[in-house]
Amino acid sequence: MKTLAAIDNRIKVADRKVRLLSRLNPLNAKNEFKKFFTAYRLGKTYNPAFRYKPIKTDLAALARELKNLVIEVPPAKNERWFFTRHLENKRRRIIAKIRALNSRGTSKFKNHSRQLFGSPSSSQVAYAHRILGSSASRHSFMEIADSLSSRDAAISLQKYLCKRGLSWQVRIRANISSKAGLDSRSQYLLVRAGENFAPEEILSLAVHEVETHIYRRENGVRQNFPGLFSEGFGGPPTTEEGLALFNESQYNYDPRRLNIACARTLAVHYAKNRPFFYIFDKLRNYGIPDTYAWAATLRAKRGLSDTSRPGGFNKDHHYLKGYLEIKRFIENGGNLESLYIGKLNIGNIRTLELLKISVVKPKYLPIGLIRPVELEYDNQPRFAQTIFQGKH
Amino acid sequence: MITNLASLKQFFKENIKIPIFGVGVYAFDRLGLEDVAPNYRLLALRYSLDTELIQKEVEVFSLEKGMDLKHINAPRNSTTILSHPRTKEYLSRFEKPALIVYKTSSKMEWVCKKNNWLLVGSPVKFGKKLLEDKVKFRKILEQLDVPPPPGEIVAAEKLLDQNSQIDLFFHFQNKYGLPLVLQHPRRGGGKGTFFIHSEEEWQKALKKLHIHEREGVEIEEKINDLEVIIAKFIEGPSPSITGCVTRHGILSTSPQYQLIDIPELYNPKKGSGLFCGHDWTSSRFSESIAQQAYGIVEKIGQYFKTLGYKGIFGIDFVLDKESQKLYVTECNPRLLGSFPVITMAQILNSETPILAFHLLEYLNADYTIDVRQINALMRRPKNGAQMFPHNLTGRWTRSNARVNAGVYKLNGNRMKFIRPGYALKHLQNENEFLLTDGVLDKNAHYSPNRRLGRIIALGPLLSENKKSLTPWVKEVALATHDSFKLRRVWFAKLRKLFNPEFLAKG
Repeated sequence: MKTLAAIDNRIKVADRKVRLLSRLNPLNAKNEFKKFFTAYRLGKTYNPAFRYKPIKTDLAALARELKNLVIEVPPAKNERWFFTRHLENKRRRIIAKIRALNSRGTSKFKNHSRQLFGSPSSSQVAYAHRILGSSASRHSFMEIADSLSSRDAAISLQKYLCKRGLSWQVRIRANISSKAGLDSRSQYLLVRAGENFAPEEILSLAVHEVETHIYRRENGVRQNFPGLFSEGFGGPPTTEEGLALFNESQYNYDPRRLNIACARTLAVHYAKNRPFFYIFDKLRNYGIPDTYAWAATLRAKRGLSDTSRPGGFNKDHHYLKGYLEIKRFIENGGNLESLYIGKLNIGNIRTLELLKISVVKPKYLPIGLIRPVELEYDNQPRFAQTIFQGKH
Repeated sequence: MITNLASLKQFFKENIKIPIFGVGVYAFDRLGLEDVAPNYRLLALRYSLDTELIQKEVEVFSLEKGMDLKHINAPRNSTTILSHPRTKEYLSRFEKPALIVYKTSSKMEWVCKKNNWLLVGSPVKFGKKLLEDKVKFRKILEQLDVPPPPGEIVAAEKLLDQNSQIDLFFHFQNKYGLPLVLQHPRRGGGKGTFFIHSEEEWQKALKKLHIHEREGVEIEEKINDLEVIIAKFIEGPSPSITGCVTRHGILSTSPQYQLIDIPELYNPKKGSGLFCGHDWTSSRFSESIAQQAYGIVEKIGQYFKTLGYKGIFGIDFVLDKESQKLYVTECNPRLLGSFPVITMAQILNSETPILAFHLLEYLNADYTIDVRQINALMRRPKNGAQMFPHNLTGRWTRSNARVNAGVYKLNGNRMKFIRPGYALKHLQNENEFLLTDGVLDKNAHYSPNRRLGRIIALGPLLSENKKSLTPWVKEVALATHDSFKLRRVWFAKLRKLFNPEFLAKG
């Protein structure tokens, strides 16, 4: 039997090979965008047909390798039990991801997606309806202008990374599902080519991508099981994305970001039974601009070929779900710093405490946690100035 | 003023003129008040061997009389009886009859209103959506400062969250120990309570929260807004108590032991927390336990009264054998499985049957009682016990023998018929037992876990630990089951598909 550290590493490598999210980005999204809007402006219904890049990785061999990996969970509840149990869980999840990828473009994809990510609860859907139905939501999209280019955004974010002493690089890429994202393997912060960004949005992205995802990842690498702590425990990214959104909300640079999370939740909710066009139209009726409504709908329908069919990719409701969970966690006296040990989930923290598992103190913490001087953030956000120093 | 059984009978004779009907799937189910109310009759769906005996003494209208082993193709409940045109025709002979039912339904309420019949039973609004919901009831208990077993209410969604499943089980195990109890708020019949001894069982129970089986078919249930109970397992027997909300105060009988999860009576594969009977003869509780039970029934009854509830309700407990503390596990806002045998035991014990006060409340009768006096009378030790044998084979079966309803003795490991009989009063000593309540003729069909009848005895059923049967009772249970000579029926569901009357529904 391999040592736990070796298993942790094997699972980390396997997870990276699977690359579920990037493999669900449609190749022809740009063309379908044009077709969709041409039809939409003519008052016609069109549901995009997506194509995907063939998968060259031998996923069947990878699944076999994972299945053959012996992980013996000890009966006694101790530190070893905790890590083996979570590694075992993660192994199962990666196999489930492979099954989802194998069903990409078929009607079975929706079942695998639901198994991996669940569905939004009715209270979550009601919350999203409430937020998007408010006049503040409509105003936020009207008031904030996306006046900066991808290049501007990349420069600002790169400066921010340097200031924080991180070796990550910003890269501009065409085929990513959101305006910004991470390529953890190469340590790239990706910015989507051809996009426009609002200054407020870049600040929010810095909080989201750097202060949350990169910080948690960098802190996780320093732990005993870097695979689990830096790539994430087995399970949907509820805490990860929820914390990112929660952190954004603390600074409140770009109020549209919560609205987008709500739109994504509704998109996942409707995608269960509705076609692409219906979801897009619903989101538009909430005052969501075309490009944002398109992006949220595309994300909810990625993985399908024929988007007129029911089902889709259920990941996106975890932004709002996680946000509400983190809010509750903080309201109930939870310690935000404990979530920066690595990419762990809220539920893991209590177990770490109960089992007295020692962890390395997080090196990277959001500015708000290091220097909780509220005035600094109220009117003149500290890093807002530094980020745009070059521009003004 | 009603002070005892004699004055109660007198009150009924002089003041209650309206026709009263007990409504049940079998005539036996609603027996009890025939000795108290002169105008008492029975409405039944099925016509079983014991009904033949009952109708010699009480007027019975049975919808399936003359249908031999065929059944009306409708759910096997009292709503079917009351909605049937022949029942309507039969009841049209009576002016505003009062109908005592086990449990009301919305359709039943509608039918009764339409036909101007008085429905004697707690309204549907108190049932599944309020007091029968274990989570809502637990919240009520917390509000009343009545102790449920240590535990908490948790969103099912949280339990099923892939991020917290493993850690949550560990947290609960750490907090409450093993086994753990997981309870679905609304499911009963052994399908809603899970006793979890390991993480594997935990995972299985979680799966069953949103996928459950009904008559062999897997049904997916929405769990989005479902809350469940996670509680500590309390080691000890499961007593219960029968209460009644009246305008004069809260009445109750003495607490009684329940027979739960008895493998000789119910196939354990069906689930956990399976109700199998009552044992009043064994129910001799210490004063401290009895007072705990009376205090709880009073608190809960008074609360129910503020909701506008009236009549019978039941409270189930678990008795911590170490601390001798009673914990409330659930509530049944309706008539209970203890009826009609509890009424029979009460009458044999010269008590005023609690069911009579339930009826008087719904009849809005102008009666007076001293609650303390009546409670003292009804809380006396009484003799009698009942248990429910079920089809243990796990398959659809047909009986290959005619087993008569009546009084039996055990002869070796076989039953010996002594004489006809259907009620507790027909037993003469503790060596006899009675088989009654829906005893069907030879060739009758039984679905897996279907009840075969009811065994009534004068002596105790439970052994010292109050959890298992005495050796004699075990033999009685198994001999009764064997006497039906159950044989497997092949392709039962398929045959039912082509011939809906082939097997009873429900």
